[in-house]
Amino acid sequence: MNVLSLIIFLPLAGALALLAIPRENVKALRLLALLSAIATFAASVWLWVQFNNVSSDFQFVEKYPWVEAFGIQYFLGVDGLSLPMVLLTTFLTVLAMIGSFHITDRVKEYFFLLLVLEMAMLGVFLALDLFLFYVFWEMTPIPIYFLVGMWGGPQKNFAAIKFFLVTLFGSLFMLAAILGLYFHTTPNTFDYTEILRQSGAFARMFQLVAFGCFFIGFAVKIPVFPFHTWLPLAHVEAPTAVSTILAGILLKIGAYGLLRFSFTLFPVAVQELAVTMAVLAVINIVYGAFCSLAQTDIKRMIAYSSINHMGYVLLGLSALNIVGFHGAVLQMVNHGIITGCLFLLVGVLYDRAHTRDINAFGGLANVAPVYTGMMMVACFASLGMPLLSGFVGEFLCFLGAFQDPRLRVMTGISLLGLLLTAAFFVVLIRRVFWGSLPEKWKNFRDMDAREMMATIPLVLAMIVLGIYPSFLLAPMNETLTAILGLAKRVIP
Amino acid sequence: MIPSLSFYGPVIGLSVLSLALFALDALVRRPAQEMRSFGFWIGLVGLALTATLIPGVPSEPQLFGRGMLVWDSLSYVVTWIGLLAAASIFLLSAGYRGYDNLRLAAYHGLVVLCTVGIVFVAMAQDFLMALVAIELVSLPLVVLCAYVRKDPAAKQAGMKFFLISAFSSAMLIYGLSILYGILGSTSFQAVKDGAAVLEANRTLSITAFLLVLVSFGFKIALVPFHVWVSDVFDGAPTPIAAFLSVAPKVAGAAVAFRVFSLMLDPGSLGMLMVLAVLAAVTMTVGNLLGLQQTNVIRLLAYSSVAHMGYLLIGLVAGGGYGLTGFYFYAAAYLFMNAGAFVVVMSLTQAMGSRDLSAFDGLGKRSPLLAGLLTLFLMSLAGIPPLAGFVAKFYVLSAAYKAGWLWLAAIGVLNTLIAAAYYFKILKAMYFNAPVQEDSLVLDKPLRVLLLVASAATLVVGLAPQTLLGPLQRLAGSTSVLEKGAVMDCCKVESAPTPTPEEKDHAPHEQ
Repeated sequence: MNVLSLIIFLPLAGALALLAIPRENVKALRLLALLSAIATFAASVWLWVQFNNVSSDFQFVEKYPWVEAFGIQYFLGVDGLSLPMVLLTTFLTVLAMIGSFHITDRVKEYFFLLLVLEMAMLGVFLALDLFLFYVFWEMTPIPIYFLVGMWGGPQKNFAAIKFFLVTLFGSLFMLAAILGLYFHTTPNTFDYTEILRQSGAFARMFQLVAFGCFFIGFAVKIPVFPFHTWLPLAHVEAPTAVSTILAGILLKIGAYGLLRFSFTLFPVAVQELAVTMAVLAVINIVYGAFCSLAQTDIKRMIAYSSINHMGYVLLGLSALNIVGFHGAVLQMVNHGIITGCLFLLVGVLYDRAHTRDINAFGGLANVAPVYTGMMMVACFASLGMPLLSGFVGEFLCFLGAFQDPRLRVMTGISLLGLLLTAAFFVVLIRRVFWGSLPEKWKNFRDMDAREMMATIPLVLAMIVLGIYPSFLLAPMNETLTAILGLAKRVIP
Repeated sequence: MIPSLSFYGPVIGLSVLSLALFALDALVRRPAQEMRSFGFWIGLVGLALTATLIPGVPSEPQLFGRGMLVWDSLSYVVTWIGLLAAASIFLLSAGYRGYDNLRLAAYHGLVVLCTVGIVFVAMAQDFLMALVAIELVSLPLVVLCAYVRKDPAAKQAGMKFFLISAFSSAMLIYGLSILYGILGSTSFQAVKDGAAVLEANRTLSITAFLLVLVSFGFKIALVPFHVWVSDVFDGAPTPIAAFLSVAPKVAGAAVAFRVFSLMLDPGSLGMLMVLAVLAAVTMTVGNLLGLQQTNVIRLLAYSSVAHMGYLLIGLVAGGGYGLTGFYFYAAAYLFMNAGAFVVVMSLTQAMGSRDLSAFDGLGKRSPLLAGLLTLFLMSLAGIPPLAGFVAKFYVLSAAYKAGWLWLAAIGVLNTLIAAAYYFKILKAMYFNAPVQEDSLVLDKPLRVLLLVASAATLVVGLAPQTLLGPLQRLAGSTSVLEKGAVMDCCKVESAPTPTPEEKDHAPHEQ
């Protein structure tokens, strides 16, 4: 059974089925969209159950010729790196669907685009043919462009086109590098496993250039300073559920690509450029944290905190050791869960108050205890409180980086970022939830059932992953060890 | 061995068709509406019948018509593109309001006549032949541009197009007269055989080829010879603008391909470098100008300029790879451009405005049409998994493989600029509030064209092998075996007595 194809194309099937439903029937549209997302999630859980933890090979491989003229294949496979990402994607999409039920304008198009987006992201995580990977990669910004531009905030037009053009800019560099790889292999191929087999013969210069091109493509998505400028705009203007997916999943495809392709195919470049990447990571961490601290718009604050958190991921990756890798991938999943949850929660606030200005609130804990509790768990998880999931990932990233003597100073500097993160989340909690309650929020409704349904699973995941992270680490271990081995290869 | 008369099949078929349409116009007295549908149906059926006359591609290029014409994969593909473009223009014209109350039988005849020229251009193996063929393409187009006589903009467009084509033909004549002085022949083969002579008269040869190139540059609308495009597109009837953006340009590019890539030794005289620079400048300037436009027809005009730049990349890359890329790009462009024109034309004539604001809220008014236009625009921008992406990917990889790294890089970066202006239309359609609420209704012919174009754009994008496989085989027969034809041709050129080949042909010609 081709379970990977099933996972990728279930959302598409759902999207096409949506087209057949009349647009007035909003309930049916929502239900069908939710059901397709749940079915996809169920399929990915089945995949997880069937997954063999002690193998670093690709599993459930599907390989068919697609474009013979180019030797392009329809080549899918899952390993310990892509499995957590697939689970994260399908899980968050289900919750994003629930979190989107209050959308009333052009419901059909909205869910159609959301499902197409899910398909494209799953394709990115599962494709092992570089051409196929690029096709899925390039399909991801399009639904987002429409989602931001049609349902976004006041600056949606600019946010949408800027997001699209900046990511396209990065992708084009990647396309050039993929072409380069194609012509550097004999016989010419886009097959990742085959390119990997031949990668020992890549000259240093070629590795550096190709790595650089790939890096620009991935850095735009992560986003790494100075390619981050699209992020605050897009995240803030996007509707709640789309911000959730943007921060929760889309930022991960950059880090995933870096680890999957750049680290394994260009070991010489990786080893030479690890310190440079660490420097960029530190800039991300500190700069992101400072920017966050300066915001008064809560959503914007969380958007900038994503830049900070993705800095930890990059720091863990550039450590080039197993601890750092574990930390990075764990942090990717955690950030998806935590920031996804934070965006959903801010959406709850905005739906009631129609403002996100931190100074407009106060004392909400008195009227909305459930909301306060959820928000506090999410904030504490995000700032790295032990026993919540954020801590494990961040700790491992720092530990890994600290083990590399070249990165010690930078690790020290980035601890400053950690401090600042704690500062702005504490400020946020204090301003919004404590203090005196302004008159106009006296009738602030606490969270309703739908909103709880969208967020409680995420809060639970934060706690579970904080206490017992190893059930996520177990499937990753073999794969990350193998990737590390490839990244640290010494090529004569 | 295919008998030589069969190579004339498409030309004869089209000529008969066009004369029949003219005769119909002259002899039958019926109301305009009836004449219009007569012209439409006779034209469409005639094109379909002619398509059955197109001979297959021989295993190596076949010379005929005393060595002045050749039948190979290039002629084959361009003939098909000419026929398909003509058919799509018939469908498009059937839904064009500007033609209401006009007797269109002769109009269809003119389009067919122009297609005859395109087929001749594709088959030309001699500069004189090419010149005559290009004139045969241009003159009907002049009339077609100005077909709506009462519209001053159309008259102006026709006049501009006439002056430009006259000027560029003069350049071609000037260039080929110098070439004749050097080579003593106007045949393309002489260019190939006379490589040493050309090299010996380097300066003169370069001057001659530059003149030829300038002439082609005007026909294909390469930058800096593109200035006529936006005015003519905007002034001419929209279906003719759609026709202009594909068929004559592809035919011009095809003859350029034949001369500069298949015949002229790619390394000599530095002509390839000139072409590469032209391609780069054409793409970049075309796209930058497109970025400035708010008139959608002009925007599509500049987009067609930019796309010709990509087509030229295939020419510069050369070889079987470049040739396949050239074919693929031309075919993909034909469909996605036709599709885009259907929606743009229907909308602009319904709204009475060609401004970008006419597109406001189309996503709400007619979700299906807006969705299809999105498909075509994304394909034009080169976004996977659509036909335009595969086409761009193919020509760029051909350039990369042939060592034109910088050209490939410029091609890649141009995708970004192109996306910026195609997305302006998407923005208007989806993000802006509609001015009118009513949905757009399309005539049946337009719906048919839309269906075909969108199916082709999707299928070729999702399963590129369906088109790529056959095209690769075709290109292989032309580029690899071109040398074989050279040998045959030398005999034709040098021997005054009939060669065995000509003797073979003789019985069929009687």
